[in-house]
Amino acid sequence: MDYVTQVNEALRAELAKFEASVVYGQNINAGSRLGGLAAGMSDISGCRVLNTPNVENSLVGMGFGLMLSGTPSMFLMKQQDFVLLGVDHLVNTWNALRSRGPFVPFVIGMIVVDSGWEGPQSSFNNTSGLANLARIPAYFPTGAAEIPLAVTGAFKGGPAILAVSQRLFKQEPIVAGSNVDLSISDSYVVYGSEADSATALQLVILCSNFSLEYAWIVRESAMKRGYAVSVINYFRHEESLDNSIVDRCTSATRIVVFDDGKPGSRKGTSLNDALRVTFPEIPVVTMFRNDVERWGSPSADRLEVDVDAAIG
Amino acid sequence: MIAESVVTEVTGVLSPGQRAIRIRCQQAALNELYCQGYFKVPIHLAFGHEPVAVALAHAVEPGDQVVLSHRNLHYQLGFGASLSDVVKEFLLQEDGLANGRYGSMNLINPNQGIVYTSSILGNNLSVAVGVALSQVVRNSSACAWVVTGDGAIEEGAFAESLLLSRTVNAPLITVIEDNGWSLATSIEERRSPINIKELVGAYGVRYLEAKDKSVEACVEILAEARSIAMGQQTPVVVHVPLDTLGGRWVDDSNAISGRRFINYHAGPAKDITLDGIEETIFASEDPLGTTLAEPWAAAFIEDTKSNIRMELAWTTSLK
Repeated sequence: MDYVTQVNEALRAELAKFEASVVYGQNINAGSRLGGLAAGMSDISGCRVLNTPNVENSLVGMGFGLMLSGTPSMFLMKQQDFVLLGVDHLVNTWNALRSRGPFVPFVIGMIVVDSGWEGPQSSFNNTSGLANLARIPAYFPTGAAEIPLAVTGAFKGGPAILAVSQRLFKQEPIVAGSNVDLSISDSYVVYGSEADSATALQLVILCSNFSLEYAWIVRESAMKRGYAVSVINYFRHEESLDNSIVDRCTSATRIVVFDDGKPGSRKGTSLNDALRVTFPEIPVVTMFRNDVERWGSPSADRLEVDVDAAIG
Repeated sequence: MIAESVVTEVTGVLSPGQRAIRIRCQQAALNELYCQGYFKVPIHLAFGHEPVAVALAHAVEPGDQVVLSHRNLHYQLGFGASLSDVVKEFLLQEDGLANGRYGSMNLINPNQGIVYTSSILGNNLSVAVGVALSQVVRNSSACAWVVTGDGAIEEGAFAESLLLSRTVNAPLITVIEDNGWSLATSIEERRSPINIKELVGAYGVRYLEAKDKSVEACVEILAEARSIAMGQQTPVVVHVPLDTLGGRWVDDSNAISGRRFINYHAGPAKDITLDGIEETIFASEDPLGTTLAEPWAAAFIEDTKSNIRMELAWTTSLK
């Protein structure tokens, strides 16, 4: 089952838990329904699905009003950059409400276009930046294990950002192999090293935003070169390293940080900073997207993976 | 959400005119404290706005929800908050109206249906659309109200909220307090005119306008607005022209227009006191003028002043 279908199923499962809810946005109840992301919502008992006009600022504000009045809702938008018109509400409205609550969920679902071909004004890919600006929980699922965790997390209550990658829509999400030790937290999934790997070369890869597939390329190559590899994939914006990750990194001989978000308040940047302070003796390599000039024109804008630089 | 007991309280004890006078006096008393530097939070007084606040308190029904702007003091008092609780809130005390957590510009009172108040121009409009839509989703017999101003309708958010509320057929009543000023700039000094009736009508939203600035006119028009919004499940915009009074005119020889300007964005009105209220602000353009000519008015004002003095003496002694 492809990525968008899995996300859609997880969304519908969450919405089915409410007696009454509203799902709204542009083009969500017509045509492809955002490439299938919003498919089948109107079949959910008690769920009103509303096509809306192009009033993004007010659509974000309306969601806060619904939340304030006890009606769970989800605003789905075609491109992440649309939400920039609603930043007043993400910051100011939520600042006025954050000390109240508990609230029913208001999920702001957004598709990160992230192909590069749409040009500079559709290139926004900075979910962590939004999360930092608004101090709102933000989720960005990638692998099969992360999708239900991220969607359930977004519906915990109050406002939450749920960013999904259009680039991944028709791909099969990465699934851990049967001999991979999989462990989860509220914010990340750890794909442990292969059970039969016994080597002094320990590579830990931390990845954020939608970079799991890039990390997976390095993982496969590193394993062939004799590394035991653990991949820690964040699906929620978190500020710091927790004890579990610190323990895992302690035995590493090398650490790689992936983040395919655009510069700014990128999560990978803060992870890199924290790792370098915590583990000054371990080489930490970053795999970021820094080619700002490239976003200025339509292009095959992706994170370039340099395996040799990553593994050393 | 507004409780039935609150509706009974605000409609059953005093007449609308008496309530407006009481709010005027309460503001004057609060202004005295403000002039003394009593508060750290900025307060937006609303002398001259009392009729619309009283009218809204009379128009709401149980279950209605109200969304306000930064200038919300008159509504807090109109909806039955005691002056003492308001003062304590402005002092950020735990026993204040909202437990000292919101101060002035974001002051809420959910027990009386005031669920959201915003200090950002135009920000509250779409939040109110959501509140109204929530009433529809829950098959409620209540509606939502939002108060905005002639400055905020310049924001794109106003046009967006008209379109959105009409699209989802939200029973939302938008009250435009039109005092003609934004900060210290009059409409003529800042923009081309807006024909609000035509603007609102272009979106298929019903438009009503108060026939004058009196309490009675405001009560009448807001009651009609609610009847239309609920009866037809449609948004309504009510235009209420009014004057922000208080004599806070500032002579400005450097002004481009060469005119004085009114500096009432925030801050106290230095000439207004409770004792001298009749002389200082009950001027010819005052919407309470006819009410004050009633035979009972003088005695009522004296009683009100006395009660407020006692209430404030007790409150300030606790500071």
